[in-house]
Amino acid sequence: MRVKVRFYSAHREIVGKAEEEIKIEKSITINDLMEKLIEKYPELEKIRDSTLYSLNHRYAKGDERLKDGDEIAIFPPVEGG
Amino acid sequence: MDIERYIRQIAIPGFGVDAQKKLSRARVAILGLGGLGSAVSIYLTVAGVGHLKVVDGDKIEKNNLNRQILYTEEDLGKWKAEVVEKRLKEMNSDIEVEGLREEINEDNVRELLRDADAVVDCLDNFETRFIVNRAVVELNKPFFHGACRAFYGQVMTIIPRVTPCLRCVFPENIPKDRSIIGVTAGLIGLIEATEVIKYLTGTGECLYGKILIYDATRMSFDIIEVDRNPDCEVCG
Repeated sequence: MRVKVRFYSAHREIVGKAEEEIKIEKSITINDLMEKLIEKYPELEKIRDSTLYSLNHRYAKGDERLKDGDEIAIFPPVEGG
Repeated sequence: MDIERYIRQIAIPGFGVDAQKKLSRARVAILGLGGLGSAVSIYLTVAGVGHLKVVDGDKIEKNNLNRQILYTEEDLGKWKAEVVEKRLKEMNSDIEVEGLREEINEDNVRELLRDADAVVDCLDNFETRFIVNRAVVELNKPFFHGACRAFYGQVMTIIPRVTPCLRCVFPENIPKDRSIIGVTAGLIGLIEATEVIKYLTGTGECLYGKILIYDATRMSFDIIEVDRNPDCEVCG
């Protein structure tokens, strides 16, 4: 299975790209996906707690399960004004 | 109301004198007079929103000038709320502007917002945003959220107890980062101001239950749909 992950703001700066296709062996949750990403990009750990997710353009919690072809956006809220 | 002044927007199909009168009668509170507040207050002023309450407890500093387009070098060290009140009145004598030199906190927020028809979030931190969020839910005021950093921003429009509030969506510990380029703050502020004008005049659809995510690095605008959190500690 493959899912597409899009990165924004601080996540994008850490990962160094706007999106990435990730291969997953079986249906995993968004939290599991985040663990995989942290293994690959350890700096993401620092902003994990403030990370928000969307799944196929809907706001999503970390315990939601992924299926083939899903699009996940991973973003930190920004604060400035 | 000076019709000639607004004739080009009155000419928009579906807008007309009726929409202009709605703007003219409206009272809008703009909280924060930085990069977002500059764009929001200028455009609501020239659009003819009849009463603006502009609130900020800070003085103008040199590092504000890359984005806070209301201020000139001569304004350094002056109170933002006082400069903004003067400048907006110079831009449009057809409206009333009230500049308030106040830090927003639990004690003054309800009084500040009590007479507002719309509340615009031009703040620079989530601690104050959550204070305002709780007050707008209690007072049932439409709330226009915007925030920005670097080349990124987000916007959401809130009708309390109808659409998700800030607490339904955003966590407590949002990273502090002061990096910003003026064009990002300007653009996010303009989207907020557009939402306010649409809401006040009943034009189109606002960002209700939708977070608009802006990424200037690839010039993308993505919409993420979000539901109210039934367990929300503020509006649930």
